[in-house]
Amino acid sequence: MTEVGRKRLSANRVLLLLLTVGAVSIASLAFVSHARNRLVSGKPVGFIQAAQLAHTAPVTLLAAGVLLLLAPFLFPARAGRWLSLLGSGLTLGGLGWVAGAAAIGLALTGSPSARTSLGAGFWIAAVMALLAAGDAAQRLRLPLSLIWLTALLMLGPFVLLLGLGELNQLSILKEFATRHDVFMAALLRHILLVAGALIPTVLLGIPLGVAAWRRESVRRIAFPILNVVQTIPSIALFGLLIAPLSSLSDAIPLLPRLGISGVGVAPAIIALVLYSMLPVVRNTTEGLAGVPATVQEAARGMGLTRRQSFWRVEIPLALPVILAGLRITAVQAVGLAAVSALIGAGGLGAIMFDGLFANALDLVLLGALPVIFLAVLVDLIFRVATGLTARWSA
Amino acid sequence: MTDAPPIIQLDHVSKIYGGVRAVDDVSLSVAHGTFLAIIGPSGCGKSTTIRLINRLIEHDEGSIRISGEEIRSFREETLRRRMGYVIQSGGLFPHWTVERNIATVPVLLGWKPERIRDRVTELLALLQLDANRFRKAYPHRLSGGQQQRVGIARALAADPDVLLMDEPFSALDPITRNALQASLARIHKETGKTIVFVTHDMDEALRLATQVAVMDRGHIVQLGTPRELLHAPANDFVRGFLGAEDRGLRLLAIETAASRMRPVNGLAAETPAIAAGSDLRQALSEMLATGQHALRVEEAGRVVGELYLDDLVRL
Repeated sequence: MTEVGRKRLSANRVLLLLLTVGAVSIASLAFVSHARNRLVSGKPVGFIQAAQLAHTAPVTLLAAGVLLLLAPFLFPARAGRWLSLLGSGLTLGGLGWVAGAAAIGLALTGSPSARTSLGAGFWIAAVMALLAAGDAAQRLRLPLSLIWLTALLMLGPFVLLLGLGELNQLSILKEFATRHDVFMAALLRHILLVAGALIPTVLLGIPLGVAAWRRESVRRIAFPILNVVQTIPSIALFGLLIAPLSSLSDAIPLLPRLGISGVGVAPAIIALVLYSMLPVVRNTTEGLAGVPATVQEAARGMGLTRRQSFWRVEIPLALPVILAGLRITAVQAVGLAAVSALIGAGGLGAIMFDGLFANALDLVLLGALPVIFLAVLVDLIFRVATGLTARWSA
Repeated sequence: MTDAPPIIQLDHVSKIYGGVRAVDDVSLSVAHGTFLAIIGPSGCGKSTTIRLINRLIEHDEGSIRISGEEIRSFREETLRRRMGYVIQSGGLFPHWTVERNIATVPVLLGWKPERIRDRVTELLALLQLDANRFRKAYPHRLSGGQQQRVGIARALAADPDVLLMDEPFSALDPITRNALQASLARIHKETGKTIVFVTHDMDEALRLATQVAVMDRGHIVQLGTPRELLHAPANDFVRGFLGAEDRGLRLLAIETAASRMRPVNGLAAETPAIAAGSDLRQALSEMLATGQHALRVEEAGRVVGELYLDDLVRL
């Protein structure tokens, strides 16, 4: 092996590991699994069999994707990583297409109630492809303005195939088709839960953070309380709120008519707000405290009023830290909102729990995958926003 | 015609912190165009005094007037916008470009954008900063010396009556500090601004100031021109602060070669030459280094005089 080749190999050890794990899992685990109906457990279908069912085009796409993934071993760093990013997107699309086409092939032979679900081999390989894309994107150190391009390369082929209906015979999409309305309502409810929690959190948390920054006494009371709230397990907090809210809604007849009772959306949003407060309040206080004393003195010495100094100097300088707190809070709320389905708040969690209780794995995934996607999306949005507010330090 | 009131006037001003008189019965009158250096050891009250003038700290006793008007008759902000303020580490706003930093007070005063732009251009030139390179740069891209130049430009932006500077150069390396001192001396000469400058560096004070106030434990111990201080220190504290051994050299440092030179009298052409603007300490150093008793004095490439060792020794 040449010197350059050895260097490229050692510089891309992560990629090598991901490729190995992906290849081993595809070779050894079920790629999809096929069942006569929803109640019986499926028979594993290996990758070779799935590929034979899928015919040429999907396999070719997958092969092209994998070849491009190898690019960092063959080409100089930046070009290799771009090709690798493109390859990971094609690999993900190819994996989905092979599975979807295999499902179509299996559907031709089986009964209408037969189901083809994605197997462990597919999932592990798909995760490896996404990690490879993440690895390449991170090493490219792309500016914020190019994040959309990364997302397009990573997910574009897969989403395109999904939109074309090539994956429709897979059981998770069949579940989606039969529950389309329920799913959309759950997704909307989930987003509303998160937004419904974040808005009061911002309106209460940022002023509280400012007050805690200004006054030692506020700090001494607020932070211990918020810390304790943060340590209560989420299910316990949801449960704890049922009793007081029930008695409140019994006592005040107006409340149930406004939709406030012991179970449902109201306790869920209250609990989510309580959890969300700490990161927002803490980061607001820390962000403001991090404004250098010399800058504050200069602001006053230049003749800015206290109000001008606060809005023009202190808040803008603290904003990246405040937004980082909001990011933590928002990602956390997306996850916790799923748990709040247990107290009847609905959302994607409800679909997950339905699936768990009915022993329908596809239904669980139909709830879980959008939660993950939402969390990643929210994280990305806040990262971009944080980056934009801190351009002056770049 | 009566004299205009002094631009800054302190009468029996004191500031008390928990029973300690940080500034104690200070009276001071600063005439228009003065470059006043307030010098003293750490904790002598020099920084407190400067902050009393722009009301970052409120005085407890006495009165402070600016152009004859009591400073408390103004809104704090109005007062401060009339005074440029420069602090040690610059204190530039990190989220604003150089241009926006310099424009701080003009924006507060509601100047029109084109007027602000022209003023920024003018100030960048005055502070010897390349406008194309620095106008849109953020402060963290600048060196310490460049940041401090922007800090001075910002303080001068709205053409204030007074420039208050609190140890502006003490965090800089000697070469940068020297360059900034030269720039400040030139700006003082060109603009005729009244400057109050706090420092703990005696060479800096003697080099720049037209008046030096020496402070110790809240009092002004002596106020005078650099020459008066060096010739007649008021007490041992001042003498010690002037550096007992270096006093003679410092005396030389406050006068230029031009001020002591004799008419041209045919010194040999190979005699070392010195610029007319150099101080006498540099002249002595040159004599010691070259082993000569005399130097030719040049200005704009022309010999304008001769300087002998005897001329330096004469008081």
